[in-house]
Formats: sequence, structure tokens, C-alpha cells
Amino acid sequence: MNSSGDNAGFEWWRRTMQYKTGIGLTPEEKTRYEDDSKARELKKECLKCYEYRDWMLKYSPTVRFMVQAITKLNKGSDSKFDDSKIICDYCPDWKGGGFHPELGILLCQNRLRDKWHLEDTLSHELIHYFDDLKWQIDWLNLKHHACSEIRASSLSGECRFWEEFKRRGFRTGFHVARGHQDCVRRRAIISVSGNPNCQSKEHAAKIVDEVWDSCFADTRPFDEIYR
Amino acid sequence: MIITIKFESKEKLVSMKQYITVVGVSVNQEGTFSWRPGTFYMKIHEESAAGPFAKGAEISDLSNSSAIGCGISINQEGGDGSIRVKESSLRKKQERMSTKYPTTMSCREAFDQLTSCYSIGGQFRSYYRYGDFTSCDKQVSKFKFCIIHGNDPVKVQEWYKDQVSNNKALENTSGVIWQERETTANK
Repeated sequence: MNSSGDNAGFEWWRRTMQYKTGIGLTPEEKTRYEDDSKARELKKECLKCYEYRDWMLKYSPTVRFMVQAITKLNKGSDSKFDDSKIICDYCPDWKGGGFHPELGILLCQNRLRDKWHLEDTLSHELIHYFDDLKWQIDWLNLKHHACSEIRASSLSGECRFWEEFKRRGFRTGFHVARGHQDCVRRRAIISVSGNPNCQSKEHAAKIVDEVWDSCFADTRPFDEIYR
Repeated sequence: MIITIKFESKEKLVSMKQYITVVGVSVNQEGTFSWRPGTFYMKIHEESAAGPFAKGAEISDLSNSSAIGCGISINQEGGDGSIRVKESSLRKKQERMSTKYPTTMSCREAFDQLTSCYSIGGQFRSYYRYGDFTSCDKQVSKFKFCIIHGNDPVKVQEWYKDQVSNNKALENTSGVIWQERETTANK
């Protein structure tokens, strides 16, 4: 039997029933079914992620604006920014996405909850991309990293009120006044803690506070905080 | 009888075109306007115009007239009905403008921005972001400017230039953290 036939249509339904009921299920078939199930889930997540990515590149105001800004900065340069710079993949660690100056942008297909979470994550990484093009950033320099994280969290929309209220609204420590800044600061500290040169969370907090005034006020390429 | 306005050069046409709206007329490749008498009118976007070219005034059937106003003169020449357009004082103003900034401003858009800033949602957003309620100074000044000067393309361009320089002063704050790259887009 061919593998694609096993994983689709009636045969997959039959194998699912066999697995759920245990009738005629051998240990080898049990293991094979579980492996195939994981593979199917991964593929489904991957296809969904790319579908959402393409939709965002086409319709999201924030993503489209950021792509235009990056394209403008890239004018006259050898490297070109396009779809191939944004890839979806499985991530073992707890994060929504990542950015690398040479490789581009990574979206974690197994971590993104829905389409709008992907929009926030993609906007966040696009701001890192913009920062890397516009300024000479040493990503191992904690000040540079912290500054970019502050700007990305502030401008991407992941700290907008409803998003923050949904997740933390009834926890102690949530305040409406300056809640946006609290969210940005918290997220920046978490991100900078992951830098190899960062010794501890307290060290990250110190760096974030150091660069806060300069970087939070800088809303480029937006005129102001957009979302 | 076909009346034709001929500009001295194509560049003049391009530079003049932003001041002239001709209805029912197409501009052909040779840089001339052509139309039939009685089926057209021409407006000149000039705030301080006088006489037949005053703002909003309509000119019809130039075949028997000679009109002068605000740096534009139209004189009938020859028997073929062609009219040569010259421009003088508009050149000085034209040199102060550029294609980099918009020449129009929508007062309705400015008003919408002002009301959304004053609204409950706008105030709440400001409280959530900055911890205090905003008095919407920027939106108020933009709306006021639009009411007074919204129709003057030169002043509108100057306003946008001022906005850019103001933003640059504010945005240099992160310059103390990192160095800007040299790119062609920044020049």
C-alpha cells in the first residue's frame, strides 16, 4: 500500500476507527497510526500557516505597510524581500516566530493560535526586519536587541488593549493606565532574556529600562502607534 | 471651428497642467488642448486671480476674446484659431513646489481624525497607552489649517514639509542607541 493512500480518504477513516475501537489493532499498526497522525497534523498546520501568510501579505494594512517600507529601504540593494523570506516551520520552543538577518522571518506553525495571532507575529518580525535594514544593529548587543524588541512589541499590535485584556485582564498586576507600556516592557524583557549575552532576567530588565525612553518614542516607519 | 491652445513646450504644459482644469478636453501627445466652442470651460486654480480667471470663474468660447489674468495671457493668433498661452508669475510659485509632497488636503479626513481622537475610544486608547487623556492638539491644528488654507497647493505642501521636519526631530531619539545605515533610500 502506498503511504499517501494510507493517509487519506476511506483508508484513513478505517484506520481511525480501528485505532479508536482497538479491534484488530496490532502494536505495530498502533505506532504507525500515531506517527502518521502527527505527520498529518504537521502538514495541516503548515498549509494553514502559509494560507494565512499569503492572506496577510495581501490584505493586512499593517503587514502591507511594513512590506512597502522594507521595499523602499531595499531599493537599489542586491537582496530582495519577497514571500520566500517568510517561512513557516515547526518550533520546539515556546515562541511565535523569529527573525534572522540573512535567513529572513520564521513563523512557528505549531504556536500560532489563529489568523490574527499570525498577523501580530508577522508584524513584529517585519519591524525587526525594518530595523535591521535601517540601522546598523548588532543583535548580540543587548541595547540594540532591547531597542528593537521595544519598538516591535509596541508597533505590531500585540499589546493593543483587547489582546492584552483577553490574556491578562483578570490577573493581578493588570492596569489600564499605561497598560500598553507595561505589556511592551514585559515582552521586551522576556525576549532579551533569550539573548546569549544576557545573564539573567534582572539584567534584561536593566537594559530595557536603560533604552526605554529613546526607543518607545521612536515609531518609525509609522507616524504614531497604529494599532 | 476648432480652438487650440499651444504651449511653448511640452515641459511648460506639464508644469502648467496642475493649475488648469479643462472639462471636455483631452490633452494629446503634442501638448495641445483642443475643443469646440460652447462645449467646454476652463478653470484656473489660483486663489488671488482677478477678472475672467477668478477662482471658480468659467471661460467659454475664447475664439473672440483675449483674456489676461494672474500671469496667464491668452491671445488669439492667426486665422487658424490657435491660441498661445504664456505664463509669467506662476513660474515663481511653481518653482517652490515639488512632486514629493501632496498638493491637496481633505478637510473631511482631518475632521474624521479629530472626532476619532476626541471620541471615547480615542481617549481610552490614549489612557491605555500613555496613562493620560489627550487634548488632540495635532488633529485640531491640522483641521484649522485645512479650513483656512486647504485650497492653496503651495501652503499645503509647506504644511507637509513642516510635518516631516517635526517628525524627524522627534524620531531621532533612538539615534543614541544605534547608527543609521547609509542607503540610497535615505538620500
